[in-house]
Amino acid sequence: MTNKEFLEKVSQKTNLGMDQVKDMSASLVSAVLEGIAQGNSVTIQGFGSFEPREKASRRIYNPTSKTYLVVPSKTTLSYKMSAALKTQLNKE
Amino acid sequence: MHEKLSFQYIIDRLAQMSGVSKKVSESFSKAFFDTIVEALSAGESLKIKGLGTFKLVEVGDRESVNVSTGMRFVIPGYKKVAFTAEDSVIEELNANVENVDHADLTDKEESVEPVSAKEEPVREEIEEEPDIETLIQVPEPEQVEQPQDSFAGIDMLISTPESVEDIRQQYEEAKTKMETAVEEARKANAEKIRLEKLLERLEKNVEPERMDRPEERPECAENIKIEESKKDKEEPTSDEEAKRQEAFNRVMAAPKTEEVKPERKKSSKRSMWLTLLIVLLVAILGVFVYLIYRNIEAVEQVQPEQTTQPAKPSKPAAKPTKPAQPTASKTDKDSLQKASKPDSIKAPKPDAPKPQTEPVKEPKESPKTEPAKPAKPDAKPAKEQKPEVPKTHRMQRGESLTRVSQKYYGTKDSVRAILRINTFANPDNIPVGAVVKLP
Repeated sequence: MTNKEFLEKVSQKTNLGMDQVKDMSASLVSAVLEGIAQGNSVTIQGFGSFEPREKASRRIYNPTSKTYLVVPSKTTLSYKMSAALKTQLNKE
Repeated sequence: MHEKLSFQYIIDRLAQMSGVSKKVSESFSKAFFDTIVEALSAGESLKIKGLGTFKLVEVGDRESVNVSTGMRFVIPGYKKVAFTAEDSVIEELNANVENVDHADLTDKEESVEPVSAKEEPVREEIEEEPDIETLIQVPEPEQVEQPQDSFAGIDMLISTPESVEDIRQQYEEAKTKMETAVEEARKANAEKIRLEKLLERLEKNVEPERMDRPEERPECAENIKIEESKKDKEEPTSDEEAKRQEAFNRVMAAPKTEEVKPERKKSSKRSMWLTLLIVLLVAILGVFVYLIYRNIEAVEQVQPEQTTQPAKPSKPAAKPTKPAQPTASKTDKDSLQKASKPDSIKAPKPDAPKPQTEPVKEPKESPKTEPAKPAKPDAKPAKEQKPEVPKTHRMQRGESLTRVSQKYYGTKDSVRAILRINTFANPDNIPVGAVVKLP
């Protein structure tokens, strides 16, 4: 499902215009990311939680040039689905 | 920081940001996530702009073992949602994080980098030093100068002259030193032999003057023969063995034939002594031949030196008896051989001491010529390897000095050189991370 299809569905559900849905979804996403950027985790009931995860820096070895390189540490966004979603997905 | 933000917080925030009532924002948010769930339930993956991709992934059945009972059982497969954040999201996150925790991150990186920057040092193959040293030590304990020469070889490795010229000069110096040392040793040997003879004569109470002549000349001839055989060894490798054998036989045969005579005059102890000496001789010669064999590859470089030397060994033999002979031996070997024959006929008695003195000379002289040889091949490889060896080495887990030596010089014997310029509490157990200076 593409972003457009998704937004159409949302607009059907909420009885809102496409433009407004677009705006609102964008701000919803930015609201979630804002919380995460501050180092918080965001939990949405019935869906799951988003959490920033810090990946430690590590050394990697290049066997051809026989050198070590450092991959710097970075933060990624991880998502874990809720138990409710899991059961719903595995109903059958 | 590190709080758990609830769904309510998101709704409030959304209401703030888009200027909508909280009711609308709540219903929108619910609808938003419900559609995601629906889509996923329908088995679709979906992409949300600005956030990432949600994908439905099926995890297959897998077998596992109950640890307590040891029974195998199947963990049933299930579906799960895999989420991949958009690159822009991660960039944004890291930009923020860097601003916040900049100090921490840089600290970490700095601590790691020095290790990463370190490159694996290039392995070098360096000429084996042990050969020279063993060769030098084998010849004679009398030679005091020789050990110095052996160190000279190492010093050349240690110091790092930039140009080839320097090395050449050093090499030349070392060579001349070595030659002088060999010369001196040879003289000393001649002295020793002369004194031995004198002693024997005194024991016999025979006039020394007469005996000297016949004794010495055959010896000279013998020496020359051996030297010739040596020369031949260098050129054809296939004939080497045979010629060495011949040399051996000559050495062996000479004393045997003459042994009969001494038995008449002397006690059986003499002959016992003789045989012992001969056996020793053969052993030494064997070692010498073996060493030559090992250095066959270096033979081509050695040859120029060899050619000059064969004439010399005859000197010491000739000295004690006739001053005129040394010159003759140098110029013409054949004439010497001829000259020796008539002399031996004159006085059969003096033949007795011959075998003893002869064998002593040969092995000593022959190994003496050797030390000069290995110096050459060694000096040359040094040129190439010097620049690549780093000045220090940080010890790593499981490393020993021998390994370090092997790594940088290709031989374990540089350990001594390393030990000379370093001070360790215990060279057999150097702590990890210790910095070792390298010669």
